[in-house]
Amino acid sequence: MTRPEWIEVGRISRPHGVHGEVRVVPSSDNPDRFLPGSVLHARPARGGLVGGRVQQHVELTVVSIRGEESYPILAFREIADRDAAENFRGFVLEIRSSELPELEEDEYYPFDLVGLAVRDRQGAVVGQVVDVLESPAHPLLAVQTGGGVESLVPFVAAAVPEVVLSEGYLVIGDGFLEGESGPSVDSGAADEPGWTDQRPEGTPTDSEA
Amino acid sequence: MARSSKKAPFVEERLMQRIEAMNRTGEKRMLKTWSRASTIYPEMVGHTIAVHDGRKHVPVYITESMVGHRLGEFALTRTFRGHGGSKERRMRRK
Repeated sequence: MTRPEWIEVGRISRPHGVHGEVRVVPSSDNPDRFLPGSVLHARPARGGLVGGRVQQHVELTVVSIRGEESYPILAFREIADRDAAENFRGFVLEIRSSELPELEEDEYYPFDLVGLAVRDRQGAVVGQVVDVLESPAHPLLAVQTGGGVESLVPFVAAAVPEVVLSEGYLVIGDGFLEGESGPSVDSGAADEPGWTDQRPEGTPTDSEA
Repeated sequence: MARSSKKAPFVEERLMQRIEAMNRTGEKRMLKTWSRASTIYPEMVGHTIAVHDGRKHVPVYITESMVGHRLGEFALTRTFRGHGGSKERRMRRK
């Protein structure tokens, strides 16, 4: 799988003060990303007048960082005063994907998982990962199977025992994909087969509730 | 007012019956439920329960740290997918 060339690490929100500092909304969970000396690349968030003028990324070097972690105030060597900082309002800060740090075992970037082929335990390709969603319990993989059905699969070792990024596939355990024989509802008889999208008996409908 | 302590924490009866039946046979199947108010019992650990979020069923793999919480806490009813793009955010397979 190929990674995107540019990875977003934050957005410049607005200028701060008169010395060219800016407020940044970080979208990176790497605590070392904005340390002094780090080189980032800024580009306009969308096209339009500014986007047309700025054809390439502008290289920015972090000089200092202060303030709260969730909304820090950054000073860049290339931004000397407030007028210059105003020009960077709304810019996206990015790095090249080759600059991403190595991850530990069982850690992944979501963009590395999107597009992976999904195999069952027997090795047959049954679908493809189309999205990665966040959830309070664990990440969820949105898997599109051959019939166009989209299933959500918990990204835990019990459901996804194997992830092979180098070969572009992951393995999903039995019973986690919609349309398989595994899942069942909590209502009705114990031998009720398959997925059912019926509400259980006694559940009030919208009009009754 | 808190629930009386002489009653055990609430759990949908049919859901618990299914879990106990699977524990007896050692079977692991995903269970669908609409009962977001059900409390997570220790018997549910290791099972995957698909909890309804009002639109679809969200699979929740139950771990020990979830015991005592409600199923609905792990299937949010509002989804924010972010502004898209590729961001430097790592995630861990649990």
